[in-house]
This record gives sequence, structure tokens and C-alpha cells, in this order.
Amino acid sequence: MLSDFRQFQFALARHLRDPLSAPVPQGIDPVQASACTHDMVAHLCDVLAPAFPITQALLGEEMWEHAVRLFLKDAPNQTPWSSTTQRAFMEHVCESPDMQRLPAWLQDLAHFEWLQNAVSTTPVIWPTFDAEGDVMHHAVVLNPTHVEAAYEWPVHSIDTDHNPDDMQSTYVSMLRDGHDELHVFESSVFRGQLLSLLREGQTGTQALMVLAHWLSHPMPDALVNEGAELMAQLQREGVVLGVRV
Amino acid sequence: MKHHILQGAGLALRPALLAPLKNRAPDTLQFLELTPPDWVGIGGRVGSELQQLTQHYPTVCLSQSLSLGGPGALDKSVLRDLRAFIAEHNIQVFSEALAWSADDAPLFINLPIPSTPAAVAWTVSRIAQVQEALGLRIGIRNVTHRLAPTLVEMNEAEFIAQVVQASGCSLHLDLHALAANARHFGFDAQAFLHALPLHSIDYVRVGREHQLLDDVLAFTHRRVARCVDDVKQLNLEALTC
Repeated sequence: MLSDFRQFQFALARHLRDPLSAPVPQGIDPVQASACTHDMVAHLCDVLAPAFPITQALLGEEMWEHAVRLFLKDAPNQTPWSSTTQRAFMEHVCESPDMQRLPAWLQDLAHFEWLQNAVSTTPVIWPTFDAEGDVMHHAVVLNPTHVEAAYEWPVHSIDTDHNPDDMQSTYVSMLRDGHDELHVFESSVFRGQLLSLLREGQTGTQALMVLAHWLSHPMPDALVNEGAELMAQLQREGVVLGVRV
Repeated sequence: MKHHILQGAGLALRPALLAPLKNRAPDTLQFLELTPPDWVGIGGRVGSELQQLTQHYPTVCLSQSLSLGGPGALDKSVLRDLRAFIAEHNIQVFSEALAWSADDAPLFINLPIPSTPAAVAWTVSRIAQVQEALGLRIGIRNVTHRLAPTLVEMNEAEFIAQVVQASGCSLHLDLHALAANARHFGFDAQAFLHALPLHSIDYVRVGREHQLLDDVLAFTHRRVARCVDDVKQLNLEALTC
């Protein structure tokens, strides 16, 4: 059984998160409690704003604060680090039933913005690799910061002065280079599948042969030959770093 | 004999300060204070710039992430992350807010711990768990509050004194927070200060927002100004200005 003071704390926290539904615990000044909630929202906005600049601007001040308050109310279990709070907020925007009334593209945008921030800051250990090796005939080393993402909306064209008119399947590769610069490249289902196979340890040729088989391609060798240029492009972009040593 | 690990001017580092510091760090800067949420789990450019700074400057961890007096369970993953963070940046002093800031998830605010004997015992047991998990002796720090304490069975200074005595941790005194709370809740800051276990203080923060502190010291709470003089008489390991 909880001690009195802990019961009191849980009740107070519930009220501060959701002042409209949870009653003010006895002995608490409602004005002070309201100031606390205000500070909580303000602090949370400070944590979230750097990761979602366009989402915040497009929602407008009132809706943004409303979204932050709903997040605070639902209190997803997360560590207090800014990076995990930003991730939890993105998941809240994408999954919470309360958020489904927002324009659908805002959810894609929130994810896209979060992902850029996460790829820029995620800690990685850079692997060793041979940049000169033959990526068609050896297992390759992928950039450890690289991710593929798929969206229903053209996320990269959304800006504070441009909202998308129509849905458009959009695939992106995102990574951070060795100088910690973020890069976003246009991708495709084919590229994404090729990268999955490379990640499993297949050579360029092996992966392209598998894809040719999946696609029932009439001339697998031709696909492999054309795919060599795609492998070279992936290496130029820094998605493929080189071959394993 | 006390050994002074840190003294002089410290800076509470924020990510936005990395660029200006890189261009020109003030000659008077002696050490850094890091608030973990801004930095834990961050690599890339920000992470490597932080690494360069913490290799150069002694570093204090100014934490308020553990919710020491909170009603929920201590988060083991937070403790693990903090232990790694302390090792990674060679943190020399670990300071934790004496407050609660989470139920089962973060509340993004520091709230005053109900000052009851049961809460003293609860907080002391959690400090022991924290010190065990981090592998070091921590200091607990007074912080600013917006909410008047409730379930009061002793005043905050007595509460702090009992927690420090029973836990064996040290006391980190934030004079700015003391000044702000004294002004906000209208109590006597000097009496508060003298009720603290002053011999357990080994880290003092004088100012955060200089203007506010100056105003408080100069106009509204002359008694707090005397606190600064009193504190300067103490044999301290660190005095941040």
C-alpha cells in the first residue's frame, strides 16, 4: 500500500498533467497548480521545438501547445532525456487517437523532422572498411547512421509556406557523413530492398541476383550490370562506405 | 584538509552555447555544468563538440532527472545512462535536485517533496540506491519551486538536514534558488541557511540569472546578500559565480 505522501504525489501529478479532468488535491492552491502546468508545458515546448521546427510552425502556436498538452496528459513512459522525449512525442503525434484530426501529412512531417534530428545526433561507432574494395563481389559496410524511410506524402517539399496538395509515395535515404553533415537522398522500394539484402551481408552481385529473381526479371545479368551503377551511386552518397576488411 | 576540485566561474552549458564557446571561450571560465537531458544519448557534431569541452574543462553534472523524492520507482535505465555519462565526460561532481519531477513518467518540473518523516526515509533510501548505482557520493541541491510545500511536518531546511544526515550525501547549495524561493514564498533566507547542515556543503552555486540574483540581493532580500558573505566564510570545495 502506498504511503499517504506518495498517494498525494500521484494525485497531484495527475492533476498537473490533466487539470480539466483530474481534481486538485486538497491543500493545493489551484492558481499555483495552474502555474506549474504552464511551466511544464513551456519546458516541454523548449525540449521539443528544436526537433520539430516546421511541424510547430505549421500547427500554429495554439495547436502546437494543444498537442504538447495532450502529450503531457497521456504521459508516455520514457526517460527524461531530450532525445527520448522527442521520439515519444513523434510517436504520440503519429499514433494517438487525439492526433488523428490533424492533417494526415503532419504526421509524416513530424516523423521526417524527428528522423533528421535523430540521424544527426545518434551516437555511433564508425566501423572499419576498405573504400577501394569491389562492392559487387564483397560484403559491404553500410554507414551506421543510414536509415530508409517511406512516407505517403512528399515530406521533403513541405515547408512553412507550402503544404502538399496530394499524396505521393515518398522514399528517402538519410545519413550523416564522416564530417557529421546530414544528407537526405531520394530513394525507392528497389533501393530499400537492395540495402536490406546488403545489410544481411550479401555482395552487390548476390543482392541484385536475388532482386532479379524476386522481380522475375527476364535478364538477370542485365539487371546486375545496371545495378552496378546503383551500387556506385550508393557509395558516392556515403550509404555504402566500402567493403568489409 | 579539504581539497578544492573546482573554483571560480562555471557555465551551465546549453547546446546553443556550443558555437559561441567554440569561437571564443571566456578566459575566466573554470568549469562546466551539464544538465543530462540535453546531452545524454547525443552523438554527432554536438556530441563531439561536448567531448572536446569536457576534455578541457572540469565538469559538474547538474541533474534533476532522478526525481529523488518522487512516488514512482527509480528508473534503472536512467541510472545506467547517467553512470555511462559520468564516465564518458569524467564528471567530478554529481549534483541532484532535492525534489520530485516524475510520477511514472517525467513531469518536466521540480516539485517540493512533502516534508514528512516518511518522505525523509523514502528519499534517503533512494539516495542510497542512486549512490550504489552510480558508484559515487552525490550531493543534493535545493531548487526553485512554484508550488508551496504541502503535508508540511517540518520546514524545508529541517527536511534537508535530516536527509543529509541520514543519507551521508553532501549538500549543494544553490543561492539563486534559495533567493528565488525566499522571495516567492516570503520566508527568511538567512534563517533557512543557518538551519542547514553547513558542514555538509561542498558546492555552492551563486548565480544563474545574474540580473535576477543581483536584484534579489540588492533590493528585495538584503539578508540573502549576507548569506553570500556567510557562505564565503565556509571552507568550500567550489564556489560558482
